[in-house]
Amino acid sequence: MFMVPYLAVAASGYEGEFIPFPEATIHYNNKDVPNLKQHGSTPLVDFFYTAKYDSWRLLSEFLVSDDERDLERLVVGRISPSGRQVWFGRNHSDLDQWNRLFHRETYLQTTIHRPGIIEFEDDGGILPAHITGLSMENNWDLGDNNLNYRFTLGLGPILKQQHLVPYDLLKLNTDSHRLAFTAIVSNQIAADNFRDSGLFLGHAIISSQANSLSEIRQTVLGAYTNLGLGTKLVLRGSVFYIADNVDLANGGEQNSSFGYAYLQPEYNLDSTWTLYGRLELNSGAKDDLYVQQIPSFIRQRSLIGARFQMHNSQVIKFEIAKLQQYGQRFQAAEVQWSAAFQ
Amino acid sequence: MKYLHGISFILMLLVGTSGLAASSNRHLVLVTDTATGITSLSTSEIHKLFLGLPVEKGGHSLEAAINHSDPFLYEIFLQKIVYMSSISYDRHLLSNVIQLGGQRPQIFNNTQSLISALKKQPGTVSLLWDSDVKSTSDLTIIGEVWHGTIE
Repeated sequence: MFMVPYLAVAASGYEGEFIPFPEATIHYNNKDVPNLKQHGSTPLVDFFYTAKYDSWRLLSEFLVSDDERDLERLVVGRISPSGRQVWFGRNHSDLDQWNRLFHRETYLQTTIHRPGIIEFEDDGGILPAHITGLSMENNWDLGDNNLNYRFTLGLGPILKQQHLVPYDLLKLNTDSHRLAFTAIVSNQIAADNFRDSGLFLGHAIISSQANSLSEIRQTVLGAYTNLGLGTKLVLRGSVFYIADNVDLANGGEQNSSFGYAYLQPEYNLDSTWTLYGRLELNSGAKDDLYVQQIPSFIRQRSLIGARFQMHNSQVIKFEIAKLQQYGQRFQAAEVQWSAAFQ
Repeated sequence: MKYLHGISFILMLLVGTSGLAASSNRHLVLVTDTATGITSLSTSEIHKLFLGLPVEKGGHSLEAAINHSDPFLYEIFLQKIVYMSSISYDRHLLSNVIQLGGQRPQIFNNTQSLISALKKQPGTVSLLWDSDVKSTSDLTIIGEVWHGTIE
């Protein structure tokens, strides 16, 4: 049933793969929060395509949902035999670990949602998740470990009414997208590149079309870990320090900063069932004038859930959460099916 | 089912290594084409290669090919090379192709098809029983992954 869309051609030095990642999420909230449906379902498909010719690579993701058609990622790059990478195009930023590990594919994630602080721009994210420009990555072999670094420089998002908008490759961008820069250094276990810890930073100049704000200069510092404790337990966690210097439309300035942290323990019962939880907290975000412009930003959340991986590349997740969004505290129960058609 | 599979694998290993009667001595080896000129790979290089990560050796970019022709061979591969379950391995490969692009390692369900691919595509590395390699020209053994006796 899932064999048809798989494409793999290994002739003339060309190789490629086309993998659709469909998902459907059913949710129920215990409160009727304005801007959110109290209950409903959300289907979407992320079409992933990659091609390789010699050392050149193309990566693309096109997302289709009931309210969105978006070219999430389109990069052309080169990977040298030693592993040095250079990419041009619209790519995910280097902040935190979620982009590197999962990109847009919730099928690969343990949880249904990303932490609020690292959400994509149109899902309430307050940090640049996409940068259109140049990325470079390299690593040093340290025996049992690899020291990996990566940085990205390009055009970041702008702030429109109530959310960030990244540079759109499919439309004529008349808005003034300004420069954004992100970088990450991580120490990866050579035997498992998904077990790593690192430091990241970013700086972005965000033009604003929101009322009363003209520009935000945002600086992000953080650290993260994917720590394996034995064969069963994984701890994913990050801490963020975010400073927002806001230029007001009336010529004034308002500076503020806040901290955000999350901790996500995952316990693998066996190769199919994983139990997990996550706690997301902030300190001082409510006083940040820029953050106040994005009400869909999830300020805090605690959740528990279970992930069931089937052998035919399908996953079902069950999750209950207590969260704060749109200025309200409420509880949510969700079930998500996701798959990789390969 | 998964547990039964695991138990049967352990029993097979125990039987294999204790050398009971009416059994054959087998060696699972890492092979590539002779023209590539590689004589060995480090544990780290082997691991990275089969996770779909870039590996260069002797001026060649190496590619992994997965031998899925024998369930017992594949179980040894999972436990001795990538150290993870089949499901976790698939997830790792998917994550790496999403990050780096290109193509995941090719999977071969037939030994002869795999041997042909190894000869045709220089720099391709895979696992074979040594008996399959001995009867084949142009392939070279660059390491032993496991040996034991199987009834």
